[in-house]
Amino acid sequence: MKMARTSRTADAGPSRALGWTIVVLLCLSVPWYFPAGDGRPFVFGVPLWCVVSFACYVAIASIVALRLPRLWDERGAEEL
Amino acid sequence: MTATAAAIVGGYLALLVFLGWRGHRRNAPGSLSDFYLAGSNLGFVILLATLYASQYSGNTFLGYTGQAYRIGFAWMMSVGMMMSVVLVYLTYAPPLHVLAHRHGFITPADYIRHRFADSRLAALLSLVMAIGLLNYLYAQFLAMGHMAVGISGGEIPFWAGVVVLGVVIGVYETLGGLRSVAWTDLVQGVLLLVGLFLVLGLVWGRVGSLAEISEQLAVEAPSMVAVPGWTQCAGWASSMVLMGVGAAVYPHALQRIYAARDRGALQRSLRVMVCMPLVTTSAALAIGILAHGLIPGRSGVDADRIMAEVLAVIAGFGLYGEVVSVLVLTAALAAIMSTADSSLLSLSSMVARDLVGELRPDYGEERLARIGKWASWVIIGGVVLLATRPPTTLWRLIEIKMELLIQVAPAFILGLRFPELDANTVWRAAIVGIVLSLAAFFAGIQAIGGIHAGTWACAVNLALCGIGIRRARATGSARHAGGGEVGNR
Repeated sequence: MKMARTSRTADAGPSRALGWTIVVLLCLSVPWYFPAGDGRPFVFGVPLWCVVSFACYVAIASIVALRLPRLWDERGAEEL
Repeated sequence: MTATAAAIVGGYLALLVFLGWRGHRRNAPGSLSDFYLAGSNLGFVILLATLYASQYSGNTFLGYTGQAYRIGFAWMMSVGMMMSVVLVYLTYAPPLHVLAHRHGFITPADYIRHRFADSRLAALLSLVMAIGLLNYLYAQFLAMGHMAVGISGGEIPFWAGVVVLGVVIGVYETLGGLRSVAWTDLVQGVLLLVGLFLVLGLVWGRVGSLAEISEQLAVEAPSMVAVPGWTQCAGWASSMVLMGVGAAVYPHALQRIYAARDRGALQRSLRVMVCMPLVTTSAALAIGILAHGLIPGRSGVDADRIMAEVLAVIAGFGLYGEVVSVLVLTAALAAIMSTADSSLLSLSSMVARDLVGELRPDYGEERLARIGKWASWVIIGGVVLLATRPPTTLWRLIEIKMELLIQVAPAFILGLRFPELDANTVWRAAIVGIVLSLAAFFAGIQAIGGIHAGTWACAVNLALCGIGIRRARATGSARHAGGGEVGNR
């Protein structure tokens, strides 16, 4: 069962969707879209924009940590 | 220097030398691959430790806490900067690891020579990487001297600290190569994490509430909690690119990709590495913010010393505080030394393999390994001399490590993905990128529109490579069409 899942993952190749999700999250981690303000409201003492930024980094780390084989692309090595 | 401090630091340095000796006993004599890459056999735990300890230097302890104290919550960008290094690894590490094992690469130039078959390009990119590494090594040696003065309470002079710690690094590095360096990195990485969390716990316990500090900052220094402006956001994004791409192509980082035992070990290490900024740089950020409740009112250069001041306060908590303070200082020293030893080993490999090995192809591996060890001592001597004397104008060049290093990246990131990218294109694009970075540096231009000059230069470099790839594809298509073949790849 596990072998079948591994084989299917390898056949599917690297996921572009996951790659683009990471790029979008990286863009969202920079708080350029927040309206200028004094940083309030605070969440446990941390400004909301900073919490959102941290959440983006947690999401990126989770994607890479849990779905790394779908981001692993060794194709260049075959042609070089 | 108290007896407690002497015992902790002395014990730590003795452990490093012992691990050097253990590495020496495990090494196969006379093998370059064994000495510089631990036989390309680093398993998950040791690979993770050495990746972690090399990426997080003493700057994480001292510089990052100071920067968080100075600019406030916007220093969340440091988490993005460190995470982007791992993300950039993912763009080139999978094929590079396969190629390195298949062709026995030892230095970054081995890949350049294999991929582009151009020794001129390999020499240029190696020179750029060596300048970046020398910068790193020099900065770490300066920091080691300051740490020796700090830990001893001024009893050990700066120069003696640099010399003694430089010799300790030289001993364990030349004894066991990467195997020793990686084992010491395990100790150093654990110390770094434990040290950061000890300080965070003690400062948080003393200050009480982060919410109170934030409310206080919102009144007294609103920019520290406010939403960053456009220029700061541009700088944030640019820092992620500059740090992510620049640090990911440090030669010692590339060599750790080579040194991974197999795909599984590399994947498991990167899975953990991508999470480390969430605990490491976030902890430094929290310490810097909370320090406002302990030591208010520092600004400018004084903010850089905030960690030292926090530790002085902690040392006043009695014997427990003193032990913690020395442990944390030792952890900072460990972080500095782990970065220094990695840079030194990488430089030594470049001298042995890329300089002497290319000039004298008749030399065997055993002789080159011996030359590499001597090169380490010569480099240590030079850097010690430099660290104990004020740098001249010429040495200002080594201040721009990331801006220069980032110009090497297209050869790896694009070179591994686009077979059409040829040596001449990479050469021309790298020269343009390097010249633009140097011109901006000497003209005193650090950033344009909040984006670092080095990032702009790299964008031009990448664009030129992109044009080269498109032209090569177009030429290839025309050739195929002329030859009666249909379509292109």
